Amino acid sequence: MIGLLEALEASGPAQFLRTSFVAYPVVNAGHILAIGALVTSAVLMDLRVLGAWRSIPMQTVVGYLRPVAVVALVVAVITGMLLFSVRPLEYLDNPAFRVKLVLLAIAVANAVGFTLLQKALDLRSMPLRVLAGISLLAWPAALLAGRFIGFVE
Amino acid sequence: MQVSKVMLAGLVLSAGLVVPALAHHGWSWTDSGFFQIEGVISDIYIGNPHATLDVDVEGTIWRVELAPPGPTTEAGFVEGVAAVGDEVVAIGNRSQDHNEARMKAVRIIIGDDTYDVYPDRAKAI
Repeated sequence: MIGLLEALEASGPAQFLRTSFVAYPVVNAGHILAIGALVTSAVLMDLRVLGAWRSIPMQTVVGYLRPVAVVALVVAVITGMLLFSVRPLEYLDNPAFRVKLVLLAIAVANAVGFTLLQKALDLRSMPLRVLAGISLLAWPAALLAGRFIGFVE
Repeated sequence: MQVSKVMLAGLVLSAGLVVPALAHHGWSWTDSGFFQIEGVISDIYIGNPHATLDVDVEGTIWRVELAPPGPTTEAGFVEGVAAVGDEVVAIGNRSQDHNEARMKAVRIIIGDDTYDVYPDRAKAI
């Protein structure tokens, strides 16, 4: 594991990002943009499932926003791994980073669970509302934990 | 649920996020007077997002934050000028929280070489 992280740290992209004046802030901005799109689309879907904006059909909201959330998650993970590669051992040691990874795992597992259950259950059913509630807490919590990475050690 | 309540919750959440951001960037989190440590470099990092030195001062590891990589390397503090094990003097501003061994450096001295990572502030030393 440590050897793998050291190899990541020594890789070309990591070395480039570490010293680049332009590339690092650009990747950082991409990470923020993706997280913004991801958390916004997830929260909007959750609120709809929980009863907001009843005039818009639930299937329409989920149908439009889920692809946005999935693409945003992929971009957030790729840019996040690039930012991580600059100082992998330092970040892995960081308590806020660890909390963020756990919250992220919960949020992703919850979203996968929702998508699977949705095939068998009505979107208005209680189990799916509970998962929407978990999602509504987990994504912003992961964002908040991520923001604290720079301020704890 | 009313949309206005959702927006209010969002505003409250974002206001909460601004406060910790002030604690790390800039100098608002440090004491105003200059502070100095002398020790041995235990770790060195020059790169994004922040260049840092870890300095062993009689068994306590101090985290010394330097300028962003651009100004830090412009000051001459680049890969190779310092190594783990070198003796170092760091002059700058200490964290207001004296329970944490953390400071933001203005000047780094290694041997006979001086690196002013914040040249404007270093004039006041």
